[in-house]
Amino acid sequence: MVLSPDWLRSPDWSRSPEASFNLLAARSRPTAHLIARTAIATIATAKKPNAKSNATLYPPPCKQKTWSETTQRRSTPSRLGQVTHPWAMLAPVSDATPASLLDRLRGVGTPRPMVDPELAGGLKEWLEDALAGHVGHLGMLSRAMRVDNAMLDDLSAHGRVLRASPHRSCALDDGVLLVLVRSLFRQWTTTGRIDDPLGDALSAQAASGDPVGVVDRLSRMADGEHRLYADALRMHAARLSATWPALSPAWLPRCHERLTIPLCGGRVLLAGTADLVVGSQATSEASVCLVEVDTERRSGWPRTSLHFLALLETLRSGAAPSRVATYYTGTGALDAEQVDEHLLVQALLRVVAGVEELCAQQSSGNTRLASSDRPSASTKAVA
Amino acid sequence: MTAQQSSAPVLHVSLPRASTLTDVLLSPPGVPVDAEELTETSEGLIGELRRATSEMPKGSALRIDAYRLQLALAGRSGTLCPDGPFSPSPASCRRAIGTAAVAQCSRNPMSSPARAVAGVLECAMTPDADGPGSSWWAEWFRRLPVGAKAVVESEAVVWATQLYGSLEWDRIGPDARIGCDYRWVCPGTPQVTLHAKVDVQAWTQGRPVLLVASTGVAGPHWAPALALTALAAGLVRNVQSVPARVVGIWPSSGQVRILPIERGTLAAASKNVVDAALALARTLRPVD
Repeated sequence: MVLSPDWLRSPDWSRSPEASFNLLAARSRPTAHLIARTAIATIATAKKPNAKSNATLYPPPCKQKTWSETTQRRSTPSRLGQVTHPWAMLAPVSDATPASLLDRLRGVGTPRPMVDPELAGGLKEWLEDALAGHVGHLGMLSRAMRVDNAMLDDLSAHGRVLRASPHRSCALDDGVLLVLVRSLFRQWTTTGRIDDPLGDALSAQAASGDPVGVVDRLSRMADGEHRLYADALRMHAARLSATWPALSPAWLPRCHERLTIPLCGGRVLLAGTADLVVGSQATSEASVCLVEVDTERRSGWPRTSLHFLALLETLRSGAAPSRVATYYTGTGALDAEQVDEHLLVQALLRVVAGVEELCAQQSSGNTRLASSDRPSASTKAVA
Repeated sequence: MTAQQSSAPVLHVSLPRASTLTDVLLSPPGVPVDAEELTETSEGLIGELRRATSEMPKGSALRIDAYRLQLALAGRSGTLCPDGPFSPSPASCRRAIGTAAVAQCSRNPMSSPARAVAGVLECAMTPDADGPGSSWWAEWFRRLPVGAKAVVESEAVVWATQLYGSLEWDRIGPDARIGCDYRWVCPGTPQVTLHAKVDVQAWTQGRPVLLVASTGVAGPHWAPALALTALAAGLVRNVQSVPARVVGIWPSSGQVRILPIERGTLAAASKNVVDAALALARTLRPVD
């Protein structure tokens, strides 16, 4: 496709480069575009009437290749063997090793999916179409509706939003533990060093401005309760240091990456934070792996947050991630799965149902909308 | 074939996106802004800013950056907190660390953002890092406990990875500047400062092109925010420094916006700055 300089200066391009991209793509590849739109429309037609049923209409895509071995050869020597702290001896015996986790994370032996370049655009169009009517009925809102996974969980569990999502996890003790464990995971993955698990996690939370109030809460706890958290964190840190593999910097590992997708002209914001993202931009093969950290495997716990993140990553980057995984610091186990259209469509339907419910609540005055239409915070924060 | 070598840029709308974005950034420039327009804009802006801030309390300062400009144009300047003493945080210093790391990566393709960030932080930990030219965040960073240091490093790695991954650096060229901000103090009204951040300055056919990375999503006033950068470049230096285009990227949402700088763009940017100054100056006045 050839783009002339006139296009770059055109009002269309200035107003909406992404729409221009799509338009140009449609003009240059009419057949592929049409096929993709038809496929998405077929999926939509098949799924929308019975959104909550366990559909098996979308078999995983064809598998062509496996993970490249080139990145593994570039791995730096592991720093895991350098652990000398006494709490490291607390790690219970497990068959999970850094090598086995790395294999599962990479899906060694599992075909690596090819990127469908039309999928992300199709999913976004589907979301826009499905949500436009509901959001439009609300009238002109002064603030955007911020939708995150915790909010969707609350909606599916109770039919209504119980609390503002950022503080929800602190209502439970295991929520506090999870926040602290995620801080440790971030520290370990980034620096390969943990000195004092509870102290490190609390200083990490404090440095971030104590966003969920964990530091404040622990500061008001009695010594005995405080010690319980310290013991629990030592155990999790020990298992983490014993099992989590050192990732090569060449894989571009980054922790706590935020994803925000505006829909309906910015009136709906889908937001999430990935504990760990690995992999560079996709080219022809899916290349990104998303990892979520939890303290323990929960029975019957659908990994909806991971699937939600996979949807956000697809919409953001234009390519679906290759794999999603949950790492459990309590056991050192890792549950990994390949991302396919079926998974993404399920996540999309959950978002549509959730936003529909939120809009219904908004219409009836029972609403929990978060302020989120501020411009970029980075420009405010930069010195 | 690179965009500079071609009379018409070839854009392949395909992955990876870095290729497309580099094509867009380096595509041939349009008609340049002439020196007369810049002079007129500059003179008009100085006069208008003097009038707009005439009722500001003595000793107060007005800083206009992209964030404040967008808030003011959205009619929400009242939500700005009063400027207090600046204190570094992981969020406020991730860009400074990240740009230093990306500059290293652009010179050494064998490096990676995570390694480069670790190297930058290691340098900041050395005792002689307080010398001339040391980073403003280094002393603060050295005093942090281990857990907080990890948060700083993690934030910087994410920032550097996103910026480094957004472009094809072998095509950007060795003369690109990473992290060059423009700060313009209004002549005659020194309490007014324009501050525009630039993450990458590259060149196409002898003219500068700028890339600005931001967090969050592109707001409705993204164009005035990008135009502020072009205006500041011209005010601080000269007409040759006015970029051919400013490209904005929002990595967390994957959005890209391109603003060609043409005849009239600077005048429009100047008007937006004056409007924002009026709105922001109002928030500084004492309540009757």
